[in-house]
Amino acid sequence: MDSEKLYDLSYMNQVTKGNTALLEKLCQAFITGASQGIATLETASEAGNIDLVQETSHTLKTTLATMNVREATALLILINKSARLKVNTEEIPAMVERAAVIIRDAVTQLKNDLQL
Amino acid sequence: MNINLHQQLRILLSSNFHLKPVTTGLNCAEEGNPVSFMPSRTTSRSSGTPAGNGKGTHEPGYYTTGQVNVDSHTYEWLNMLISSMPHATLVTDALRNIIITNQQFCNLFNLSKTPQELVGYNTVDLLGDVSNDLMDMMNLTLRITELYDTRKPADNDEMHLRDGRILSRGHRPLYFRNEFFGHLWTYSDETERIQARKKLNEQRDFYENILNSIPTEIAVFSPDHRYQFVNPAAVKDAALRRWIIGKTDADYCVFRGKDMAIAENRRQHLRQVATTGKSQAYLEKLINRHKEEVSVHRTLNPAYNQQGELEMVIGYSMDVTEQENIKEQALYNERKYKDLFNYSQELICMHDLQGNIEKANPALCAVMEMPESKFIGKNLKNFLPEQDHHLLTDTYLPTIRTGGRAKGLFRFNTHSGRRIYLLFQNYKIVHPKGELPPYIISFAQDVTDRIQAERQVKEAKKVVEETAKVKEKFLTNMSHEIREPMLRIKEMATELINNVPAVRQQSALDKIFNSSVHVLDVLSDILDLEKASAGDIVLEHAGFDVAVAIYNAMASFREETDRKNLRFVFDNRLPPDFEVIGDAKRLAQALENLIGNAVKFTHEGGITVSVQIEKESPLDVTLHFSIKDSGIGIDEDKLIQIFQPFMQAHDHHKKQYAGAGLGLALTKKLISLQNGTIWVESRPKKGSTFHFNIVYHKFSDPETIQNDVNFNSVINRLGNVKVLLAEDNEINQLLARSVLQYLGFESKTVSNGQEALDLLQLEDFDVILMDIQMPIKGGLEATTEIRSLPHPHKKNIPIIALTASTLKGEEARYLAAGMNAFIPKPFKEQDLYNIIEKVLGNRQQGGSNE
Repeated sequence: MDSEKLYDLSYMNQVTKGNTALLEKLCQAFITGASQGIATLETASEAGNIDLVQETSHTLKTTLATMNVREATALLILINKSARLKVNTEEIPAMVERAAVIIRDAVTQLKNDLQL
Repeated sequence: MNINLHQQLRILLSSNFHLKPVTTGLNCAEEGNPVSFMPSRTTSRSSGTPAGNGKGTHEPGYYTTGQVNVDSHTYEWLNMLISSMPHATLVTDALRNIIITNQQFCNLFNLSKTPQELVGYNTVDLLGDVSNDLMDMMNLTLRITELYDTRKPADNDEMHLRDGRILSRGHRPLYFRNEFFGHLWTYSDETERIQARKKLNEQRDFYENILNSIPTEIAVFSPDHRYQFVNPAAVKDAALRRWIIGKTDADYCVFRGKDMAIAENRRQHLRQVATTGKSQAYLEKLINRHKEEVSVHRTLNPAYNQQGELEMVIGYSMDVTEQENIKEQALYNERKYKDLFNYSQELICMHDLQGNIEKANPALCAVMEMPESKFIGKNLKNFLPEQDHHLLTDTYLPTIRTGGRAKGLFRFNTHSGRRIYLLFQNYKIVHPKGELPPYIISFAQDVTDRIQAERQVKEAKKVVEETAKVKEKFLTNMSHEIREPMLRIKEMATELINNVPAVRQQSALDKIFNSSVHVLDVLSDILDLEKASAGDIVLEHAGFDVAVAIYNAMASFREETDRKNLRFVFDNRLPPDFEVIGDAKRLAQALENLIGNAVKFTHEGGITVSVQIEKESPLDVTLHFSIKDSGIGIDEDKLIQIFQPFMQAHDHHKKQYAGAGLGLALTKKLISLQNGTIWVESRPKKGSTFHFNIVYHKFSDPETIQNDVNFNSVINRLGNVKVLLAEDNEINQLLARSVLQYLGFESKTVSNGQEALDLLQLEDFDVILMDIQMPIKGGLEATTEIRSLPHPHKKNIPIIALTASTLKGEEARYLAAGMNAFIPKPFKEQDLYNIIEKVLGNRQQGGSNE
């Protein structure tokens, strides 16, 4: 589908400087890390485990930031903040759900684009 | 009425009247003067009154006209007859004298005389009496004179009176026993009739003019299908138009040699009009005079009289050839597009902006294993796996609504539950005039087989890659295992050689030494190739003189080229002292591999190493290197594979060309890592030329670099720095390690604070990059413990926090825990270098965390 790119490899390209093997390794690490991270986050959110939500969202947000997955990063920051300060926690599941859609789409796009 | 009178007169004159010729005395009885009949009584012409018994002019006795005499009885009878005529009647003799007339005549011309008084009166005089009442006297006189002279019958001669009346005049010459008797004149006032007729004619002309001038073909038929009228549009030829009146279509077809089927068809339609009493419209195909087929739209309308009987059928026709052609073309096009839609192997469907399907072609129905009726009105969502619904509603539909097109891949469930993949390219159709609501037309291909094949290939590739990785890992491990003992063998061989061995041992030791060097070279290549493939080679970015680097690379081969008596030339086309920023060691490695090959395969002639500027921009320069030899060359079929690992161009050759086949593969990797390309030109027995180019940053002094915002390179002024990286996130580990390697720093990685503490106890580091949130032991806790270590160097080691936090005030917590600085993730090379330089600079200036 011709839809907006959900990720941006600028930072990765800048760091890898044409080293495609390293780029592939980083992308694979992103795919694995982001997929596992969002699965854990969903489980934590469903179980109402706010501490785990906080911990996972903290890790996940840096992972997403490396690929510049903007909307999901912004959501993760909000989720992390809500979990850490224990405020607006009732909104966490909806935010997690939305973030999950974006992250999975971004992962699918990346897999398709890089033929991973 | 004139005929009746005429007939009565004939009866009268042919009866037993005794008529005899008389002498007029006015020279009327000359030979050749026509006389019809004559009463037996003579008339004195001089008196102008009837001659007779002397009882006066009106007294009938006998009457003579020229040669015919009329007796009084007959005259009486005639007078009675004429007096009783409804029309004005006058009988004159050849000399225009009135023989007899009636009251109606006197009334008609407003004469003051009685009919009896007019007997014998000359009509020339009478004409003079009434001349004031008559119009066009000249023609009237001429016409009367003509009738007197010619004695021809005439009907309906018009006389126009000044008072507006129009009289109709009839004339008959009267003969009795073949002898001319006189002239019978009848007059009637036909003003109303003539004017009505004239008006009718005018009206008819008016309508005919209209009918004749309109382009529509018009024909009027009698109930028995005969033409009563055709206008010029229907029949152009005026003669034919006249001819056709009263004829049928069959007559016309025979006359014009047309197909009788036309006549039959028309006859049937006319009959249907007569039978049903309703209009009929039909399309008739004809061949025109130019042999072209024309289409005529004909309409037949019945017209009834007051009694309700069919009086006529009015037909009008229009040439609709052009419209029919357009219609036929449109139908043809529609049929073609339908065929295209129906027979297309591409899967086509149309749906509205909400995804409700409006149409699906047979190919799509076949793939989905269901008839079109199962699609129509259903939403696309019904056919997608549930987990893909959001792709339709959140991505596909909004994209195509706003962007007007979308392409991609959807998974569908067929009727039997089979999962298929459709690669689609869809367009939103918006009609500019809004005659149809916007809709989406979708073209798709079933790529299920392809996807499955790709998946299999990918899986196979993955297996191959994993196997290759295992092999490489094995080779690497083996190489590591072999390298150390081989180094020791080499060292020992060197030592033995240096200790002046026995002559008989010298050769064996040389072989041991050379073999160990060769094995170490192969091991080095294997390790480098594995590192390059894994992305573990990080290039240096430092200024170097290109010509010097090439010269040094060549130097190690000079002894060998001298020994083989080869010309060994450096063709340097660079400006003097030409420096670039890049990795001099990796350039030298590539050059040494290529020059080494050239030396190995060249036995006469020479080798030339060249360098020149290919292109340059303000910041970058592309250098073109080439190594040309006059060696044995490479077969064409080998050229394509020589850059593959473990492939050799001369594997069938002698032992002297033996090798691991890694050199060119590694060289290609190294050049590729430096954003370069390598290629080769070669002819067997003529030699080879290996070319490669590399894009370098131009060298500038550090001040210039700092001021240049576009310059991406970071210059390492710190030399080797040993960094301990404590980070649990794999992607962050990889990124940080890559940046550190790029900066030329050595690094070791741990995944939590406890591991950092443990490793710090064992090794010395210059700086720690510490993630804050880690499992087992976080960054802050680990920092606090480090600051409590007894070893002064270790307890004061600079610690930089790697933070993902965006909260203000967090930095104070890090500094309070004993950290020296912090950098947010993800970080840029320059930022990391700057902060490391800063904390190390502070330390050298005596900074302490105590």
